[in-house]
Amino acid sequence: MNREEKEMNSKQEVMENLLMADEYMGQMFPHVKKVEMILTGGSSFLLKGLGNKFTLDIDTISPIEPNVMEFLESFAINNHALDVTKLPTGYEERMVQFKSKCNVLDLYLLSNEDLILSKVGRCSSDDIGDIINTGILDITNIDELIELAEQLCTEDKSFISKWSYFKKTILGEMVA
Amino acid sequence: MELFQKNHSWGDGRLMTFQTVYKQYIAELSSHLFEGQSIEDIIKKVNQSHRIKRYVALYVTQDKETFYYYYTKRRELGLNDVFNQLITALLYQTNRHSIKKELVKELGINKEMIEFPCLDHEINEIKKDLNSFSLYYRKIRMKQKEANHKD
Repeated sequence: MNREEKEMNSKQEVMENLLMADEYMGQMFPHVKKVEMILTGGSSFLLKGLGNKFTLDIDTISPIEPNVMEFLESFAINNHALDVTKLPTGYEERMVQFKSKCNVLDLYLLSNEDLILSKVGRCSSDDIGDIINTGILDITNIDELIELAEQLCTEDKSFISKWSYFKKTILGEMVA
Repeated sequence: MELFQKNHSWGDGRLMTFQTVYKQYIAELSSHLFEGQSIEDIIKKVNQSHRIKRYVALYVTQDKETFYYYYTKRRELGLNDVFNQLITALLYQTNRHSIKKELVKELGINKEMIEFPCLDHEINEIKKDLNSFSLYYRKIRMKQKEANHKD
């Protein structure tokens, strides 16, 4: 198998998939001028330049028209995490636009702090592993992370135990 | 098996089938995620990570022989949940998803094989992974067509 036959998702692959979806979006839904897409999960780590880990799909937490969403699913884009991802109020103001050559897809990435909190909220070993292994903590404002986590604890009671576990076991000395 | 056995040219004279590409995809996944670990070692850790569960679900669908080899041993290997999730997901809205349709036919899956209900997000997980493969397959075919065109 040569390199060209390898199609696994690196940052470049994620971008290629988004551009392809964008191109066909214009043809399939000419009346749709813009689709806001807030990216989360593994693909957003890649687009932030954090690691070169393989990810199976592109997750968004944006509500998207069902027929458009069904079409985007064929490009491995999904918003299944929309209903289960809890973020502290104001995350839209903290997210950053991801500049790309897309015409229709308007891409945004969560702030590092919010991205970490989205992972802590799932609290699976894979999600915690992503936080540790990608090095995102090294470029995160820990004070802001704690402040936002405490805000989220007041907004979503189910987050309290997850945050407490994360703070104790992972942040450890960083917050001592 | 229309999709599974359909031949497409790699552009260099070799023929590929859908199944060949599917196996290639699974092999690439394995090397990215598990760096040379054997499937037996990966299966031992199946309940430690949802990523491993998702990989094993794809792995067992690569052909009928592999599927039934692990299906008959699912209890002793701790793969009950994986098979139940996989079978339920493949039988959910099968006709709306070409790869699901092919896998259901190829593997001879039926509703009697579902042992207990599974959650919506578990059904979606399998669909997401099949969609990812579907995109991978389409991209390979597009690149091959472009290459053939240039020739």
